[in-house]
Amino acid sequence: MKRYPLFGIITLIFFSCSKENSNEFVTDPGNPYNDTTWVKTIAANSPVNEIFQILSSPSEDSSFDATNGSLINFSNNVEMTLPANAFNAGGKAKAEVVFLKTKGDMIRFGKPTTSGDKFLISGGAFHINVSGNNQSLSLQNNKQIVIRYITSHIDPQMTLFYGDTTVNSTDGFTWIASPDTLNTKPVRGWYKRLDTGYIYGYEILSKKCRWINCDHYADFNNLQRTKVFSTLPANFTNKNTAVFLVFKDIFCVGRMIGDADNHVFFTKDVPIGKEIIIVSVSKIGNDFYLDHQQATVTDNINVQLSPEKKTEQEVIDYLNTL
Amino acid sequence: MTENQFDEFFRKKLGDYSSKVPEDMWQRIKQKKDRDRTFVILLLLLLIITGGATSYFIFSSKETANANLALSQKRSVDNSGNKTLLNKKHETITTQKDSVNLDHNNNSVDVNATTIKNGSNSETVGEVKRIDNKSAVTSFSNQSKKEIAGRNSNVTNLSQQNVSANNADSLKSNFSNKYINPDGETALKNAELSPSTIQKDSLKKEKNNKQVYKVEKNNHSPIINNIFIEAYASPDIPVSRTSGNSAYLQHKDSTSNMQLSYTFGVRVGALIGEHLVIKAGLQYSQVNEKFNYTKKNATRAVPVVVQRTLPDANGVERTVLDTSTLIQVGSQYKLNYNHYKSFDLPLIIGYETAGERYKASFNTGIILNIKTTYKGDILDSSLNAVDVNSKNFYKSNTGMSLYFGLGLSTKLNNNFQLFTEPYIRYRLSNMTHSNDAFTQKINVGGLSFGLRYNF
Repeated sequence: MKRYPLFGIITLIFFSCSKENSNEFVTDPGNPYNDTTWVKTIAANSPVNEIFQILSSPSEDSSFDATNGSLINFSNNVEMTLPANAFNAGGKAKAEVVFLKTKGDMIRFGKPTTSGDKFLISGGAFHINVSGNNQSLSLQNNKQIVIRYITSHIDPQMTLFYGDTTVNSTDGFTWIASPDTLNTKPVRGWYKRLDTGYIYGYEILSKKCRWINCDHYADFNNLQRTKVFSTLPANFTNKNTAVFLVFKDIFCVGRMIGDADNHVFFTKDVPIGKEIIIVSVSKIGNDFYLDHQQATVTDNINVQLSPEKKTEQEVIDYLNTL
Repeated sequence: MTENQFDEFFRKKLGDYSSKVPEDMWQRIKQKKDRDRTFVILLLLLLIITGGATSYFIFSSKETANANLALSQKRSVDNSGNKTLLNKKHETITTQKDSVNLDHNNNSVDVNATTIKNGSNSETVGEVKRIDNKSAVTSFSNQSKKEIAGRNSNVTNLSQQNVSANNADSLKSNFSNKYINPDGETALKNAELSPSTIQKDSLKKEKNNKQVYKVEKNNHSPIINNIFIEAYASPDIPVSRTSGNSAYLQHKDSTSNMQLSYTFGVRVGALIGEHLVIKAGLQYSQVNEKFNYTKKNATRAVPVVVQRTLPDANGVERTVLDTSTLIQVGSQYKLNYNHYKSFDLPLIIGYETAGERYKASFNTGIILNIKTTYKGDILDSSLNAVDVNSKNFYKSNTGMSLYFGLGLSTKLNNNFQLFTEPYIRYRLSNMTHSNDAFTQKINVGGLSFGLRYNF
């Protein structure tokens, strides 16, 4: 009979043992995914700036004699005339050209077609760099380079804008109208007769290298303006995400400003009724994220985006469709 | 009249007497045997199918036995009326010093009939003698008689009180050869047996023969000697055997460790003959597994609601509630105790040694799985922790296992036995589906502790 309690105790031991499950998740503060903070000023080394460095295509270059000058033909029917002794050094030099001919290119290079808060309608932009002995060369004051390229149509309002990389803006960049327009029209229509017919485009007369743009201000026929907002999930901040407002029917791209206080991207003075595409490109860690939404601008419209992970090529492919 | 004269008298009167056997006697015997055989088969089937039904059967049988006992007691002869106790064993009770054997049926052997010899002029009951055909052969003590009665459920104990109560009459009559017929009547009352009395007794030959048959039957060893029910519980040590993709198995084995598990159940069994035991029942087994999972650079999605204020161009602010998902990256530490629960049907056959207090046994058989359920986590092919049921890794019926056990039991009292049995359960088939990235068997070694109740 003394064995009965022992039997009971053994039985109790069997069935009284229960262990707790646990599922603990410890976030890694150093991981960029967990950084959900917004900043007032975007640092140069922020992930968002890496996007443009990665997505931008390399320049096309060609060597020439800076003393004698040269006419250089680049791809996409771009030809550039470099006058003799136009630079501050002679001899062998190298000309590098990047041609931004689409709205997608503007996004890839992070060069929206805006001047300050104003939208520009672009006819194409270039980045020109001339170097000799591994040093950048600058144009002499009385010299100008001539760039000719082909376009689908010619807008007589087009004029020249130079890129300003010193401004305190979201991109650290804006387009400034060339003062040269006061005396000489720096952009004009250009055509050439071929055996198959005529080709036409713009001829830009630039007194500067670096960023030059063939634009004019967009007036939108005095349409009523409003703010356009765009919100994204908490992981996407102004440090890792660039949001662009793209007009569907015109060559005009604006970059939306990140509001660090309200965690929202916005653009002012958008004409109501215009068809737009909101495009977000993000880089978190080594991953790219992309989303785009079409919308018709209404009063204070808020476009919600939910970026999805994409490869670099997938992002480029989409941008090329714009 | 001396004893020899008395014997001689009966020899002369009944020596050539042969009683008629009823025509339907053997038919009835055959029917009875058939019924017994059917009973055994049915009992075995019932044991296998369900222990519960068998239990019911057992209880029903027990109630019948109790009824017989009650009926037998009712047949006790009123001693004041000079009647003797009726005993189904057809005992011949004598209160004389020397027993006189009645050979009223030459061909019958009353092997179970007992003679209770009472000491002359004594109130105490003497020894009980077993009569073998014409002479008393074996003497038993009262205790032995009780044991016989105890082993045979159809036999009612002859209580000492009844015998003692008879003594007065026996002494008074001074001649106590009393033959008790099945109806409980006193066949021979006095010292002299009148022919009419003998004749009367002889007319009861048919009934006597029936009783002889019954006694013979009761003396045969039954096929099923003991029916029992036992409850048991066992701590188990599971041993997992996996095979498949080596890279996957390396991770799986590093995250999963078998833990102390358990089994408990109920079995109904029967002792067939002296040593053979069969058991069937229902058992529940739970295999525990510790799933310890760590993943660096794990991600989790946390739903969040972000409240944003959107100032419009006119400076008017509006609040927007934006529900989205926040992705977090970090390290996931998951500790889970997986449970593989199974309901099984054990079918065991065993050999049990004889022993009054201690018994050893060897048991083997099969365990048929009825249903197995799984709860917990497992690594998927991407080495992520997923719910074990999310990808249908395991079978809900894991098939058959082999059972081997070595038991030791000790008797607590007439009904209860305590036993322990180390055992091995070996699975014959995989628990996983054949198209999975891995296959797994979990064999179990355990030590059962249990309590057996003998009916």
